[in-house]
Amino acid sequence: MSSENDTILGIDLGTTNSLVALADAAGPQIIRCAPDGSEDSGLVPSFVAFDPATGRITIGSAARAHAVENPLTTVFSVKRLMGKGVADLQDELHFLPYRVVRRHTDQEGRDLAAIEILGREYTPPEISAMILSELKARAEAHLGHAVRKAVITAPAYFDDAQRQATRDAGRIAGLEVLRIVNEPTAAALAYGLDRSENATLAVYDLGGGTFDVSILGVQDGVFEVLSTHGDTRLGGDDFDRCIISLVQAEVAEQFGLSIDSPAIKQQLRSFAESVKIRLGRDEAASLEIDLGQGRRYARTLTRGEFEQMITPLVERTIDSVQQALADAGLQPNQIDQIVMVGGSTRVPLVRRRVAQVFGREPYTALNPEEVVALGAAVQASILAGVKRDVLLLDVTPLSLGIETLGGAMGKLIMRNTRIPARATEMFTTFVDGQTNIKINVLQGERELAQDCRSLGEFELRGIPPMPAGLPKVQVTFLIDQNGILNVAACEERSAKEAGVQILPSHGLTAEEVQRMEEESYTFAREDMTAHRLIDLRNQVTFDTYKAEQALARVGDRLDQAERQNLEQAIAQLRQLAAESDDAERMYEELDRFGKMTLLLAEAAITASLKEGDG
Amino acid sequence: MDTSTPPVKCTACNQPMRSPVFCQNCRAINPVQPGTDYFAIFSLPRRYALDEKELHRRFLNITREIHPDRFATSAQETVNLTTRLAAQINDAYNVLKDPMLRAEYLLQQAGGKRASEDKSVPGDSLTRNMELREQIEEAQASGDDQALEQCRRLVAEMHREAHQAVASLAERVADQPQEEQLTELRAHLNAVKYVRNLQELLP
Repeated sequence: MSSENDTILGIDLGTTNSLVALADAAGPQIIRCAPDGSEDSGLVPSFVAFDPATGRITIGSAARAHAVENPLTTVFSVKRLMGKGVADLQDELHFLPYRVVRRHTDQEGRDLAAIEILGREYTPPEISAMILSELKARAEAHLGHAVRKAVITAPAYFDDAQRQATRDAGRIAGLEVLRIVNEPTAAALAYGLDRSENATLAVYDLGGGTFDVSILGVQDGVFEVLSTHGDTRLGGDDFDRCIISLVQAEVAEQFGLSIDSPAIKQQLRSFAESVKIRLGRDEAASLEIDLGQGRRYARTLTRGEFEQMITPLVERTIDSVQQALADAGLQPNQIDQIVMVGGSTRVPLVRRRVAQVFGREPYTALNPEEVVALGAAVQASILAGVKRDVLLLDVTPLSLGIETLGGAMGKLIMRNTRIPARATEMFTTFVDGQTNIKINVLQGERELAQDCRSLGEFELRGIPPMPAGLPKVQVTFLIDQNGILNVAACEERSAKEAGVQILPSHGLTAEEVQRMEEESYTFAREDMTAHRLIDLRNQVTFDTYKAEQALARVGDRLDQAERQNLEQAIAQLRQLAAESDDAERMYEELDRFGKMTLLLAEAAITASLKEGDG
Repeated sequence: MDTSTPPVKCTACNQPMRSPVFCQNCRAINPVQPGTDYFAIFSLPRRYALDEKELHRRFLNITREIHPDRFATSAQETVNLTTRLAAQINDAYNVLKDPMLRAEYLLQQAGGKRASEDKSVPGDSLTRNMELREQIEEAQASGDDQALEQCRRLVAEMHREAHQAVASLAERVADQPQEEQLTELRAHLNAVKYVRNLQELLP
């Protein structure tokens, strides 16, 4: 039996689609119940739309339905923006119909992408939080009680900023994120659950916007990740973009037209997606676009042409596979099973190349869209203590280090180190009486700090003033089981804990997350107000109709003045309901109206009694 | 001489524990004190020779009990404690499972110098190394595959020799370390690093 306190959701927060799953004694299952209680596939398109007129927010299929109509206010693929700055997204922005800006509040050294909608900036975690809220609402409708805890999946190759952004999204949505689980690892868990044999697995996970490959050893219920590699900006979206670019180039060539208005971008996106899906089944697909004024773009795209366009992308995934195998110290023929995850693994070229590399057919019997959410639900049941015979041991995908003198990257924790992982490093001061030390913390494999990703500036504070070089500040870097970095510092001579102030380069501070969480409550309250208004208006319609009926039936029992009073009150209340958004006032007026009609109700009851007598 | 570690008692129930981290008796988690012997964590004798499969099995058994995922719904303090503990166990496991890191660990425990403090290599290995490096570069420049194959064999031979030397010295250092052996082990560990650099030249 699950109750409010111990239910932990398993959530796949995807680039294209998101799902929520729950595990019980019978195993994990996708929740296919919409917030209104109706049944559906369980797949929630990762779309958030803002109504340009009212600002009302819709999420999922409803949001996607209006994407072409309202391209500037419909957000999709927000996962590609998580933990990123505008500078990181330059080659991406061209494909996004909505406006991506650098947050206005960002100071020097900080660049956080935000989406500007109807004059307001939303950070990617805030948009993701809306999708999470929708998933939470679905689970709550299914369970019939509130849920507060979740496991959320993230690509294995996500860096610290992207993981933190995912966790922040959960917090803003009012969820306690018990764990960030890597998507391929979650998939392996779902795959291997019914299988008792010990094996070595490769999980090839090509989603809408990200690619991961993980090599795992499974032994007596322990799923041990041996290595992982990937690309957090490579997925089915990029296959679509190949088609979009082709069409844009050919239209420009043939008609001298540049088709890149927001509405067309959005139209092209869904058009390209459907062409890609058709080419998965058929050898060719015909493309036709009406450009107006009798101009018509038409051509046939063969599967061969499409495959040629996406080959460089597919080869990038194959390079990652080779790297992961090398890091695990394994040959392709030592892999017992290849598990395919993510909708993009339906592309025939992808399956063919993976089969070639491993010299065997990959396992495709699982629904590639659902397996990650199912795995997340299994992990949730492990965390809840329900499932005790299984355990996941994961690794950190990227090396962690600090910028050393001369701008080099000094590695402290190597990539593919099992997590939790810890490293300590000593720091000292350069100036007499110096009380703080700044450290630039990096992630990546390159030699130079400037080629690695900066996680932010960590400032050690509160070092007791001493001559230069005398303080011994021991800094502990701990990558926890979520793959997220925690830093603590201690000055050894004084045994004084030093404060660590973090200014994330591409992320939110703890204070900002808290503020956003509070704001989302306000939104929820506003939402509640909207619901309440609807309820009140319905009540007005109902009450005034009842009063009218009663007047018609027994009005003659009241005196003229009273009747006129009531007729006037009905008209006034209807007008208020039609024109005002003031729920409080409407409630008070309804209350007053109720009292006014008491007399009428009495008259009606007396009348019915009399009628009954007769 | 008995190289196994004395039984540790559980801080919670005072019963002897088979593992110094997890009490089979009362299921309490015992934090690993800084400086705890890595072999003791896995209740293994302090020896260089080690059954890697057995080490892995013990690592999984401990991890199964103390992993923070087992305490996800406990108090934050417990989550933090087990996270730190799991990181320590992972670190100990990483060191012990790698023969060279294991030898390095035994050397440090016995009071030997670090690579940064003593860069010496044994006897003629530096000369051999430099000669071989020249041969490799020449063979690569001229594209002589036969010569390259010969270089590969020589490097593999050096690698084997260096490893054997490290293994026998590390075993003695683990048992009853003498100053002379510490210096010698340091030199042979340095030599392994040089051979690895050569291997990187030959993909």
